[in-house]
Amino acid sequence: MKKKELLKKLDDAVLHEEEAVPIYTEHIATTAYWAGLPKDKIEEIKN
Amino acid sequence: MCFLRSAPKTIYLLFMKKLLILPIVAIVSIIIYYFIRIFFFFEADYNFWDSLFAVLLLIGETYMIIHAFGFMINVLKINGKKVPYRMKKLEDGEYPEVAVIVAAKHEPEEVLERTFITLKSMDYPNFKIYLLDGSTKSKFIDQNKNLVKKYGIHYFHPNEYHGAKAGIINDFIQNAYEKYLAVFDADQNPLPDFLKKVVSIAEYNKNIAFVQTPQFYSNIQSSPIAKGSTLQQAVFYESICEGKNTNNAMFCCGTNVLFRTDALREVGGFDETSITEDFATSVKLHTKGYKSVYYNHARVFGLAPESLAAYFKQQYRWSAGTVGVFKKLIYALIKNPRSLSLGQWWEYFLSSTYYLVGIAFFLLMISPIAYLIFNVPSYFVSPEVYIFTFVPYFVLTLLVFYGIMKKRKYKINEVYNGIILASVSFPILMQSVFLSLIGKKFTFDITPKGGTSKIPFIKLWPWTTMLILNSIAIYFGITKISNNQYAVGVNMFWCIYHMFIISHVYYLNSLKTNYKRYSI
Repeated sequence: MKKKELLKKLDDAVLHEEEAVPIYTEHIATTAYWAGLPKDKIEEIKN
Repeated sequence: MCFLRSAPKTIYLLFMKKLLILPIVAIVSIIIYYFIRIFFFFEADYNFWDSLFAVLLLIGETYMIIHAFGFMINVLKINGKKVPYRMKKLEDGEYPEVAVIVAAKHEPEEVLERTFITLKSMDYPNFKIYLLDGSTKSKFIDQNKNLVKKYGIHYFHPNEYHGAKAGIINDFIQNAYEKYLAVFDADQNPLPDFLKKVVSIAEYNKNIAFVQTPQFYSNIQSSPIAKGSTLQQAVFYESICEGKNTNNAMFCCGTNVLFRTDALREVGGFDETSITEDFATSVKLHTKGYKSVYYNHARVFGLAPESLAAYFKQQYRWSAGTVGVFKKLIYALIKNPRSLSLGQWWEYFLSSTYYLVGIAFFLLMISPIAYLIFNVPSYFVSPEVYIFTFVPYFVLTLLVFYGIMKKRKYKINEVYNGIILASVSFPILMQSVFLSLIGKKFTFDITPKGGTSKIPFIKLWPWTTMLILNSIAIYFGITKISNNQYAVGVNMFWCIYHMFIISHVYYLNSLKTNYKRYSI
């Protein structure tokens, strides 16, 4: 693999992660809600 | 006295400690109530109209009792029982090929895009993602083609549209070479480890046709409808499905599932004659001797219906589909009773008759009305019998149900929300069951996500009619209560209770959803 190709793959991976993390964060917030944890714990998980 | 005061707490603690006293006592109370109920039914001296309404009430009660009994048995079975599957440890290079398919028709771009992002994030070395596009409008076809290009996803569009979701998947698997097929709806977002988990289960036993995982709605903040739907899903996936799993009777729920492609091909693909093709196909696979596994871990997140209209639409389709399969099951039972085990027949009977609950609820509702207005059935058991048989059955069943939900950290208002939502669906379920039984065809229609449409007031006429009838019955009750305080009082109580439940439909329909356009 050439350096240019590797850099592009890394850029894509970073971009992809940036897109995916907010989606997972929303879902995890819901999971925390249903877990029946106290509010402060839920906030801790969210943050 | 001290014991009496602490008795409810003690019973509750015993239940929580898995001593299973409460479900067992509840089962005994169900059996006692039903036997006494039947005894007095035959004991009573009925005329024609009495008999008619007494039979209708008995049918409604029998339905509720059978399903309550089934639920209690499941509660007992799943408690402390080991999961009926194993996972095979796979080394690098051993992971079989998986085709991840998303069947979509006219789905919003932002919903599909979120799904693609999470599918691309799956941590599995050997998979390809396919969009099976059932869209017929060029606007959506163009949108989807752009999306697949952006995310490097394979695009599949049928030459001829047939059999809705089942048809497009069947067309796809004709040329699929992958060993497994992971099926997702357009709004389902899997966690990265989804494939590794379900594939390792399927790889352990080649007789496993599919591995189903729960649907977990995550848009609960958008509306109470979404929250209520989520609660209902929780009851189904966290208690009922676990029980089905122990009988090898877990059926496919259409999404978040991994299929063995060859097994699916062997039964001729998905059943295109049913709108709940997943359920119908599961029956076929089980009758062929295949196993199914339910992996009870939330690995995929999706969207619940957010408006009452969307919720009713979803229930309408599920109801019509499962009742359609019920007819097929009866035929299969007569033709070849040994094609499934007794436990599987029992579970499929419960699953395929679940949506008859609308009719059962209606029968229970018209009985007190008939009694108060027309005095039919004229026979009513003594207060002692009612209090010592019906009340324990009713209270204990509710207590076990609430205990299960409490154990899983659900709050009472959430349980209430889910029960109300299910109860107000009765006219929808009745209509779909009726149309399905007379063989009327339905077209597949994906439940709208993020819909805010309200049902016009005029279309709420079944609820309004029942409210008026209950009000008239209560008026009659007031005029008659001095003649027979006990019987009239009990029936008036039920009318008020039913009015209370029905009236929620106007509130639920008026709710605004906090639907947001998802940011990517």
